[in-house]
Amino acid sequence: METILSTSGEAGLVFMGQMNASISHEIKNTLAIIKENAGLLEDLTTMAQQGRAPLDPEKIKGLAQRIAKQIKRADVLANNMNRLAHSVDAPVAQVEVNEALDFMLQITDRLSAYRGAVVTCKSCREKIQLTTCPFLFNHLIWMFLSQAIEWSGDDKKIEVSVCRTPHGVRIDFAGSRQNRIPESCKDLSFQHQQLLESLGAEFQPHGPGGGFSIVIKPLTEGRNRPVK
Amino acid sequence: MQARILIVDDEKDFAQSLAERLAIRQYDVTTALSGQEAIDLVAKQNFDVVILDVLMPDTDGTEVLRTIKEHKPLTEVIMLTGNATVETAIKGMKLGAYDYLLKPCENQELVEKIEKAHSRKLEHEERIREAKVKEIVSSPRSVLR
Repeated sequence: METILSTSGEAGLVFMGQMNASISHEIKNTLAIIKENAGLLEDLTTMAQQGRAPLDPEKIKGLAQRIAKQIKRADVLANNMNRLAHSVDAPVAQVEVNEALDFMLQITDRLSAYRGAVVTCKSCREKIQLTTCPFLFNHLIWMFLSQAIEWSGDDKKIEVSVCRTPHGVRIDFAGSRQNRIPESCKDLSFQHQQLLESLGAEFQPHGPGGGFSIVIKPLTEGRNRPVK
Repeated sequence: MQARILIVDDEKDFAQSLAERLAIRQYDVTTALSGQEAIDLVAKQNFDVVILDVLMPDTDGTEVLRTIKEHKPLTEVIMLTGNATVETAIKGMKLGAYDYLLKPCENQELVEKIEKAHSRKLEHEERIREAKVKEIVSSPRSVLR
């Protein structure tokens, strides 16, 4: 049985792979910190046992705090990985847009940073519920954020904001020098166009130097039915 | 002589604790939290071994490696990677890195690699010294060049 999820195809698989690689890489970083700090605790204890240096309680406390901090960080990362994995559970579901956007910016933070980008999010105060495909929504956010970074030139400062529209939601991507934005949706890659189409979304460039918006309409119940 | 080591990693808590562990083992350790900071330090100071994280937000680790090898070709570089796949590490070794380790790594394994890398650097330096001595002996006027 095929659902809207099947439209994600190879690009969706690549997106999932990218996200998992990035999150697991960061988890490995936290494990490395925990391992080094645990090793340091062992070194200090051994030195104390051998009478080479007394144990400093403040030092031990500091190392224990470092380990606790990294365990907390790894827990958040593992939760994010789990949440992303569960985004394919239902082809269509109610999504709180601010929360979903925050989540995507959080899990792609390191990927953006590797490309030299600083991404900030201006959340809307009111809760905005949208009936959509959670997995494709996540993919769409990253695909267009990634594109915004590419279009932002040397000054890679991107501000992402969200607002309600009469027919759904609008997500704005603004940067100070987004100057190579295509004039219409037709100029976007096939993958971008396909993703927009699957979600019933529209690409709206703001004109020279002004960023762009993605307007997403809610999916109707009908879209939840099998495509074939 | 104990090796002079530079640890390059954007994870401050990792760089600090690894530095402390290596200092306990009598190494002379310096840390850099970015690729650019590492490049600046390598330009100003001499290090025997650089332990370099390949994935950092500000600079590509392989670019840092390339710059280090360009300015201080004898300095040995051990690459650290959090990726389970080792393509970047292999690329690094092709660019002249001594070896690589996957994060999280065993301290003992790292220390062994540091020792081997340091020995290789000392051997290279010795060979260069010998070559210079030979040149002076065969042609004393070469000192004046």
